[in-house]
Amino acid sequence: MATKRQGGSDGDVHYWYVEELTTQPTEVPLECGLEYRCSMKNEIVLEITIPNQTRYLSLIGKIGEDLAIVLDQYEGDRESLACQINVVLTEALANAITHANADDPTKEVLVRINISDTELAIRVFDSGHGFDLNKVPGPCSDTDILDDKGRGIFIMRSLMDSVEYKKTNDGNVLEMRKTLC
Amino acid sequence: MNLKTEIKGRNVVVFVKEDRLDAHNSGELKTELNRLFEGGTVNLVIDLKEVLFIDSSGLGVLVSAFKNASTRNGSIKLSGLQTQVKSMFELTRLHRVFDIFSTADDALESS
Repeated sequence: MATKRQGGSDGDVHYWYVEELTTQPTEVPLECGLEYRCSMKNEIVLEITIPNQTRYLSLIGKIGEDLAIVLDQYEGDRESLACQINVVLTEALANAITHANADDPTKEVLVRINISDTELAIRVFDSGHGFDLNKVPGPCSDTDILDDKGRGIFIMRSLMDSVEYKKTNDGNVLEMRKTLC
Repeated sequence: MNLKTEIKGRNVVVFVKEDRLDAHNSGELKTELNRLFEGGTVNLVIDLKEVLFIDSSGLGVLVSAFKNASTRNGSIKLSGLQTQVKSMFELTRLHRVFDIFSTADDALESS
């Protein structure tokens, strides 16, 4: 039996995360568009839908940090991982909210995080026109350090093993992956 | 956004009293820094002692202030960088661009 522990709520966003996982796959529907699923590989899957507003960046960042802290068998530097997750979630979400969804407060952003002891996958779904990831310049030489464009994408690419941006039926998804040692 | 601005001789110190400087609130810091520049301030110290987290838009505001100060032949100094903030500066190589001090007083004492 999986043990649920309430994460908390902030207005119209509710989140839960799980402390202990079983080896039996189960589906537990939760409130407000959240879902927790347990799989055989000691994985946490967290889905959060938020209104398209930057006021929720700190909440999602904090949840990301908490996920790193509760991981069961992770042998690496948890604080460092927590920090990195906070950063990449913030960057991806800010892009979705301000660029892809053009700051439209009536839109929503869906974040799905899959985290196990060995792997992290973050998907941020927007419903806007999106942007061309390949056209974003990166600060790749000393002269580019002061260039304001592309710093967020550069940070995500530096901290994660892969960053991809793809079209979906309803919009786009930014997908980031990292192998955790 | 919680900011405290103090005039210390020829310098102005802006204490950023928020634990996050990110896409949600960095615009307010930018507005305040622009206000100071337009008011004639050229030498600024930005103290980040209370800032535990910075993202690319927070970095962008500081870079923008750096460029603004340069065009006015002024200076921007940063102080009180905490662990995550230092890491972000190093990741983006901005630690080589800014004059960074441990405390606001250290920044003010430097020439």
